[in-house]
Amino acid sequence: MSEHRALVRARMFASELTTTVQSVLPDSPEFLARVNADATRLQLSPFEADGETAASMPLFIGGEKVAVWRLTMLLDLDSSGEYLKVTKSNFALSALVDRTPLVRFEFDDAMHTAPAAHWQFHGERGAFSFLLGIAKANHKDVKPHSLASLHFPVGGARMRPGVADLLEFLVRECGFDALEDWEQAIREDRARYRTIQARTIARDMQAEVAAVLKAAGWDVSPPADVVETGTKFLRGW
Amino acid sequence: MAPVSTVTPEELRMQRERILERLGLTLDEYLERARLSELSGAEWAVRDDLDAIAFLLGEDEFVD
Repeated sequence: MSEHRALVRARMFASELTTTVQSVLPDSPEFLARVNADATRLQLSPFEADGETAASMPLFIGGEKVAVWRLTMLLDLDSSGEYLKVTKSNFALSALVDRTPLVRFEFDDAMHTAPAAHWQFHGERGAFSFLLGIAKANHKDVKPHSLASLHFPVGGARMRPGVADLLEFLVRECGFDALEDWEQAIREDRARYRTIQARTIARDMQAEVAAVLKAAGWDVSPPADVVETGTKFLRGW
Repeated sequence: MAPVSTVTPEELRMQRERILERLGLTLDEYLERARLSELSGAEWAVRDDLDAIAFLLGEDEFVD
């Protein structure tokens, strides 16, 4: 029996991810896929030798390993083979001296109580905690002792940063060692990711896209049934 | 292309048991510590694994 088409796409996605990461950061491992028994859900991560523990990836400055980062993606597969969706992804940067993350970027498509795509910073600032303390005293659902509990929104499901953006953050903003020609790999991955996101947005916003295309001189006519799914895109946090 | 391994629900539950046993916590205790922003470094280190296990089991109750 031929392999589930969505599974083939997932394997390709894992290979692309490996190529990008290994083209940017030295000594990066391979991303592998682990799928559940009914082939509906899939995990993409680098794994330890046991094949089940998500592995941290090394980060170097001046050739010395000083930090690690983690990236795990959880995807839904559908039976038609047409549908491969990142449902959740976790990115975290940690120093070697303390496994508590320094910063995290996370996406959780099902999240309703916080922005679906968000950064969390594991740092403290007295004045901010003081403000949250006032909110707490006024019965607001906040945690003054932990600024890491704050979710900083970044563009929602469709406009969230991609892996290339996270990698460039590590190299350009944090100063970790990168391989020669890392920028080319970043550019290619970013273009691939944003093309996928643009196509998804176009599917969500067909009437808007058609209007823009008409204004640009395209000849566009609607199908019998126009299916738009843009409500979540437009209104989701 | 990247290899794919298939994991059964039993294997996932056993993996979760091993993780929690090492930490000396129940899943509910872990989730409560996460909810209160009280995870230690060792507890953070297994967070992705617990999330992935829950997801692959179809539980949809993640750590945050």
